[in-house]
Amino acid sequence: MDTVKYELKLFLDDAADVELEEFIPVFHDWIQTQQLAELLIDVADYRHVPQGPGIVLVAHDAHYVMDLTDARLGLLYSRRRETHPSRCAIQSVEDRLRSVWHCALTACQRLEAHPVLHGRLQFRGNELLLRCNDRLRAPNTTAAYDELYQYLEPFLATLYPGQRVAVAHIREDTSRLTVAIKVPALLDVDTLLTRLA
Amino acid sequence: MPHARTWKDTLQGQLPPDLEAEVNIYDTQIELRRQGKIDERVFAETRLRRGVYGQRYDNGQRHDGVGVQQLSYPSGELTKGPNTVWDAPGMQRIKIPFGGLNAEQMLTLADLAEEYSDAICHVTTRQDFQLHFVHIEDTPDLMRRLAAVGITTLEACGNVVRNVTGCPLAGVCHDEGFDVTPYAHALAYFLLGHKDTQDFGRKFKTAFSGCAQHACGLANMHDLGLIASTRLEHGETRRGFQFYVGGGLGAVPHQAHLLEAFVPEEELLPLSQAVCRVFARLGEKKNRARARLKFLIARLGIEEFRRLVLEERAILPEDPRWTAYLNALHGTDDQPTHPCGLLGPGPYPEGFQAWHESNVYAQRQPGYAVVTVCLPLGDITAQQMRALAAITRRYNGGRARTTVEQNIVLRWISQADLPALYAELVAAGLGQAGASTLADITVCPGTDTCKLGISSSRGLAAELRQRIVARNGALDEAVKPLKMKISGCFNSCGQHHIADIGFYGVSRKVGNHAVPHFQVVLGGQATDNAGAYGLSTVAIPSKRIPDVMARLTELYAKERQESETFQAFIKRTGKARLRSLLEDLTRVPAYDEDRSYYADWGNPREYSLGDMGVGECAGEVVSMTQFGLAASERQVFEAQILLDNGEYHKAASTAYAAMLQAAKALIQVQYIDVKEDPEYVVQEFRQRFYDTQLFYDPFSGPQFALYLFHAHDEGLADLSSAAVRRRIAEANLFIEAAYACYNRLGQQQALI
Repeated sequence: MDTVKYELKLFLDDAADVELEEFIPVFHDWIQTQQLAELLIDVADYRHVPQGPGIVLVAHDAHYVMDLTDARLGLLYSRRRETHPSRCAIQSVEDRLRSVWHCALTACQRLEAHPVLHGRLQFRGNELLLRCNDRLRAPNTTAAYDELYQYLEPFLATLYPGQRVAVAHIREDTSRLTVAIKVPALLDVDTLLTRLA
Repeated sequence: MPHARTWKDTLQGQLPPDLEAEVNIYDTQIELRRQGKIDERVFAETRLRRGVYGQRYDNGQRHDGVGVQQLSYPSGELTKGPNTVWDAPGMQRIKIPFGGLNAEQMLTLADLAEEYSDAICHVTTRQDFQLHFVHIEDTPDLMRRLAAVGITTLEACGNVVRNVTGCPLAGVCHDEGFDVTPYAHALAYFLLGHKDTQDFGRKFKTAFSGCAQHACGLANMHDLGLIASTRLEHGETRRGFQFYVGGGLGAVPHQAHLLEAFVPEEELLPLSQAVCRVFARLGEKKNRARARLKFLIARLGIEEFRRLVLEERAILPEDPRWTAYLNALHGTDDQPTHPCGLLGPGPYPEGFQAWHESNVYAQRQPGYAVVTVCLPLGDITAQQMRALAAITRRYNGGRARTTVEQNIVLRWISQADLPALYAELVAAGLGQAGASTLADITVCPGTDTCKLGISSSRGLAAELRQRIVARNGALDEAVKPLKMKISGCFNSCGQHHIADIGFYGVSRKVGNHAVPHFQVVLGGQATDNAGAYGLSTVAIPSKRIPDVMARLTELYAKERQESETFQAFIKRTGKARLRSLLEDLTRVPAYDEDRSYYADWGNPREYSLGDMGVGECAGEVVSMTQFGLAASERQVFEAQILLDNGEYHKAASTAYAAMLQAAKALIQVQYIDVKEDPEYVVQEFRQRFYDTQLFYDPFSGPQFALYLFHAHDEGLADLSSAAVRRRIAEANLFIEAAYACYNRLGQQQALI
């Protein structure tokens, strides 16, 4: 599984009382204060496109997207490269998965805690979408899924100890290797981050 | 399961050989630039000519609303052009000649948008696509994957012939003289990479129109505008073109001049080539602001320009490509895949009637229609693009065209299929009505990504669009078809000059603060192929532009005379009255009173001009010789790789080819039509540079020239490792001497 281009989406709870527009000043604020372990660059506004990448925080290593694909709002973390010092030591797929989760969860945590958004949104830690954004090195095939799964399964067991984790290879209507992850019990971002650590 | 290592490996042999070779060359140039072996200016022009553009903040700085932040990219001091950081996100422009796309291409664009960009494909005002936030090291793979589906990005930017645009209704329009598609196709690929188009001082834009009266082709505002025309000769209808030259927008728009009232079809390519040669020869090269063809024609006058072009035409060496395509004009025809049919009686899906009214054009061919898919601000998501590709496969064999209004049209749709097609478009989020109406705003990227942007054209467009869509039911019927176009600056990429209501970004100082404004441009006309240009009326703060739109449209609805066009209304009303109508909107509250004026639409940062940079729209003027010398350096580098791999034969011949390339590049300083024949090149080099001692090194004399002559005479006689290594070393020295000679010639010229 020789790719760094992973994407992870965490969905907002349905009760979230927030407009896409509100994420714009938050992301600009993050650039100003250089939140996250990233070189943060810019914010792109795609609210005018239905079910699209709503608001994009562009960083050198990744995009952080308040994404509306399939009409479900969530944070989509999309890794492009690993140049930040915090990621230079990544050697294995396990390390990479851990790092991807950490980046995505940290962004979710910061959003939940932001003064403008605080108390109005919560990310669902029990439902995620994992994707390999690399058709060459991680094609959407059973073999590639099986290869990914051998790393994913033990990793998820550490995140959701004692829980039955449903992992499904989504084949229809997608041309990238995509995996849906679900556990029955609702879990918050803080708990997942603690377990990652 | 073993995975392919690289896209280069995966796609090897699947690309057209010339495109594959071009991408491999570019790949090598990237590597050479990373090693500092190509000058940053030459590399900048190299990448621009492949559509690889810079974006805002690529100088490594960004104003965050409070102060300037340094963006410390990992690439450090490495640049991809003057003041352009290597790692900074860039834009990839993708040419689509006359906007013609197939489903496979659409799927590939969707894939590329997801993997290398932000999952959005943006349609431009010249029928191109643009992908933003692309890393330069991803661009060779991006180009390979495009080439695999028949798309090249060559000459998408830079001082070259840009995308050839064409009327999206070509072949199906009621009013066209004939289908211009095969002619647009022929000219686009004839001029692509042509030696006579490599030495321009500025970009060159071409457009085809099937008729004179509609707005689709916009021939009058292009360097080369071709309008289909026919005439009867000896009882036979002959095809030809009204041939216009020297139009252009930019800061100060020029209307094109009629070069010839009727150019027969067989003369289209050679006459276009002749225009290019005159432009290359006589166009301004130093002052970028005066380097477009329009300025040359203004200086010479159209009569003298015509004389020069016809003179050039008369001496052109014959080229079979001028007419070869005329035997296969129907090669570009779209064919329907569903039988023609009439629209059924209903019931129709919700919204269908309004959509049908604005987005469906009945083709000339009975029972078929053209459907416009409205793309808000020219944007379509990767997922939508996939859905659209599938839709086209189901309904018209997988064909689509982009338009200069930043939409996509589907032709040859059976009218009986329209309700079902509409339902599928709605399901994909592509069923928006209002094509070519006030809500269908044309807009450039502006300050979102462009270094030249002054005010947020897209932010404004999104706001205006939202308000218009919300009010659509209440809009006066006369107002709905008005055209609004917005540019982020005076360079008019949003084509504001030809809008009914146009805006372009400017800035004003209020106290100690900069405030984003837009100039209101009125009096433009898109019909008659961009028949007239508007003029600036008054500068209004960005946050009051929605009020401008409301007042102008309300006034028009209230006071227009029966069937009076907006342009006529503006002229009758007079700019003075219109200005007084808007005067109160010019007031900007004090900073402490209302800070919203001091930030632009969709952007919470306090407005600043600090993020503007040097535009790359033209690229540097890099001469053909500089390009040729850079190519020779690349070749000798490749020779070294071949030597290291033990491929002695190829290494030796590549080193020799590198010397020939450098010699040819030097010859082009004096004579442009250099043949490829090695014997010819060596002879010309000997006569022009060796016998004249121009190539003599001040210290080493004629030594380096002799390397070329020896390589030419020896051929591949000795292929030992040592001999090949020597040949490569000599090639390096010859190329260095060629550079030195070129520099000396340049210094001598400067002294004249």
